[in-house]
Amino acid sequence: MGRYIQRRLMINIPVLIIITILSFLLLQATPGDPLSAYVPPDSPLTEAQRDALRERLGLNAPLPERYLIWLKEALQGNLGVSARTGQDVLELIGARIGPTLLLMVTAMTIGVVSGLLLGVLTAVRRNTPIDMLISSGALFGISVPVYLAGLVGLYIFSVRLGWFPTGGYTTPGDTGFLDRLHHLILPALVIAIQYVASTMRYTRSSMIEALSQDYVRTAQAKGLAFRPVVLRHALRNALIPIATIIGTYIPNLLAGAVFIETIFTWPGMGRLFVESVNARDYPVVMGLTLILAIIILTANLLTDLTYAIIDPRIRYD
Amino acid sequence: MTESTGTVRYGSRLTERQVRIEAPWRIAARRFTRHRMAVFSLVVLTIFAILAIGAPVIAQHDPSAIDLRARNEGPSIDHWFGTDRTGRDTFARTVYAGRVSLLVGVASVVISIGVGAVLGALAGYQGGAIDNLIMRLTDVMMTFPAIIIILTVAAITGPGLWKTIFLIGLLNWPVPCRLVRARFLLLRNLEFVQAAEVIGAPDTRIMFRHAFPNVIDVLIVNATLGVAAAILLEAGLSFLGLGVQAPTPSWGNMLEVARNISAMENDLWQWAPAGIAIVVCVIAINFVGDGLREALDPRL
Repeated sequence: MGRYIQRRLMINIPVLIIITILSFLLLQATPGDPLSAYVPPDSPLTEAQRDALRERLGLNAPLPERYLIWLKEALQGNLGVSARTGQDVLELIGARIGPTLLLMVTAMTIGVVSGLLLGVLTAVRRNTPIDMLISSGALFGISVPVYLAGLVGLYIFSVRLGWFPTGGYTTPGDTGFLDRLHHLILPALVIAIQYVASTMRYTRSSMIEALSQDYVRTAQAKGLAFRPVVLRHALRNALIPIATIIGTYIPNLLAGAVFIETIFTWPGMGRLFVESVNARDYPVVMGLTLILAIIILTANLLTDLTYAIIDPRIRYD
Repeated sequence: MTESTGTVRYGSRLTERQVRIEAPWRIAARRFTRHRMAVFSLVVLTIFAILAIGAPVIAQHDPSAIDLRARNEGPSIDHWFGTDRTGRDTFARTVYAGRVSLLVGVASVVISIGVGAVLGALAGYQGGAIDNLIMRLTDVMMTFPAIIIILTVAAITGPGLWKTIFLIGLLNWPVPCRLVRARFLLLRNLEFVQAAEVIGAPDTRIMFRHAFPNVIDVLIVNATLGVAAAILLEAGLSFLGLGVQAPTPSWGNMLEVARNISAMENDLWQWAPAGIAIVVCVIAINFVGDGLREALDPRL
């Protein structure tokens, strides 16, 4: 187990280093004065002060050295300032992580819980009309892109039916929990569609396989009731492959957040990303890329570890 | 087996007799037609292709002809799907956008399959350090959602049709690369490849002349599904205003109007046709891909 964790770390750290190099090189390829990534656009610095700052930030040094200086600053939390507002990049991003996390966790919880329930239901009632209905619904669910689901959901439930607000995080002046929830439900449900569909499909096939195993037949032959056999014997084993699938959702959730936060004017990282790209605010774009990379790699690592912990039959050395 | 029929001489008891030997493509076609949704989807896709190719004949309007006297109109005999914010004909734009989407889908898949096949062949056939390097590269690329990489790069290069095609193409090669590599690992140890090695055929000749025809089946299936994925990605990018730019119509940038709530509410005809076109086209391509998978899989 220890050696396994070590190996996974060894794979992920070089990947992270490559990503920092790529972000740095991309940042170098951007037009304009590199100093503008560190100084607010309206700062009253004299040319001499600018030169001194350039020297301190190593902007005159050769490329590899500049990379190391950039990395050192980045590790200390200095990702520069926004070219638009002059705000500190890390602070700007930090303020957006909360809303994105709230949306993602809600969507994932809805997706995984209902996907599991529907998956068990369709596996137990295999090839009945209910199974066919849910299964074809799921096929449709994974085929519809998230931005289209978002637009249609917004059109039907907010614009036509008026059940939910047409966007935003809260109603200005209202800090209540219910108001928050009211804004959260529709975007979370829209994102959840894909994960309900894909969790359901994996659970269904995993459960069907588990239900055909000898230990399930043995349990039934012993005279155990149907429900405990399904839940305690089959589902437990069926969950093992599903646990790893859930880890792979995180990168896709972040990608989906880009669209959904834009459609629902949700003040998260995804919307900040799109805004910054449109405004050519390079320091923020690169900062976000780096932070998303760290989140995704951590998620991958945790997935690998979960897999090792959850299934004691598998040995990794 | 290039002929679809042949003469087979049987031993003593049977006299000479015509026996049909099916060509492989015929077997595949027969299997494909058993998959009803795939056949139906192929018909749908053919209609899409006809609409795209025949766009100038089918649409009575120029897709970028602005008519400020006829803005935001509903459907009529003259404008089947109504007109958009600058009075351009939505039907014409939907049909011409199909051209763009199919172009993006096919062209970017040509790039990704090309890159993926060459790197996959190299990795699988050469093995060793090259294999390791290429596989780690696919790892890095596959952990990252393509949309985030594309957005980052688009921030620097700026949007555009061919830039979008190249970006999507250059991001989607890891999957075909891995498929080709896996097949090459098997092929490397088969007799006909070893025989070619023994008679001194150069590596490139073995890879592309002898081994490569054996991976075409996986690549066809992957390419089909890749077209659908590329169309979705292009539409998403253009929807965010970072892919294909107006006045060139694309299903994605036609959806962009719906980012404004009042336009979404009042002008359903301006964005719904593009949305429906995306879903129908992508589902149809995926079904055809499914059908091809079953048709080409030798194990079935």
